[in-house]
Amino acid sequence: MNHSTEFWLFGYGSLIWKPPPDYDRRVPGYIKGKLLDTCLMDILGDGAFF
Amino acid sequence: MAGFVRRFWQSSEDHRGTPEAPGRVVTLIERSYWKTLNDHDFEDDDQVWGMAFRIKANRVKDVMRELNIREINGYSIRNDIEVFSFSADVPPIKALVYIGTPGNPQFVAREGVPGLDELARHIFNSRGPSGENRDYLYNLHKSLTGLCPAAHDHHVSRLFHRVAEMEAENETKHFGEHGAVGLDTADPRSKDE
Repeated sequence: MNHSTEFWLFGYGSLIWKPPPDYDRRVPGYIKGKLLDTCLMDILGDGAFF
Repeated sequence: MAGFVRRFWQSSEDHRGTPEAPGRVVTLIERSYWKTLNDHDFEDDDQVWGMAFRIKANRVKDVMRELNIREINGYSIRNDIEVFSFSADVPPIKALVYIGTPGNPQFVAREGVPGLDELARHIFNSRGPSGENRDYLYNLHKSLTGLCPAAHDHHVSRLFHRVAEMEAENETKHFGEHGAVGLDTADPRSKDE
């Protein structure tokens, strides 16, 4: 992972349209909602068992 | 590492509501906890979209101080969250994020999850020093749909469409009153002009 010495803040509410002061870069992105379910789907989805 | 769910389940007494009539703003909750709440009216999303901001190195302390004032009430801080860009060229970013704590007094779903219509009606009827509660919802919906083509959020978009319907019905009703047609969905608390 890069950016380890940098300070990033993730906004999911009003920060999206009212950004924090003094940022110099912004990246649209997501955080994970489902972890376990996604992994399970990946395993089932590759057709290894069915 | 936990997964997260975004919901309009945080009470707002200072921005989109008042202490007497709090509005509703979004919070993130851990998915493992969310699963215990029987949130039947809304589908779950496998991603929570938003915007990651890199704070200028020499301003980090000041920004943290400012954000504490703006966000800390009813939230805890997690500093190990990975943000994934829509672009495969950008590696995951480790970011700080505010997570709603279910035990805080502003968390509204502890004693029952509000359904779609109840939540939409609450947002439609609320306002505070920062403005109409529905404008917060509209801003969020617009920001998310404009973020990038892959961004989506069922909870936010369903609420957006329901509240927009309520607003349209309300305008029709008032038009009807002047024309002596009148629908009986009148809510005397609504503020229109």
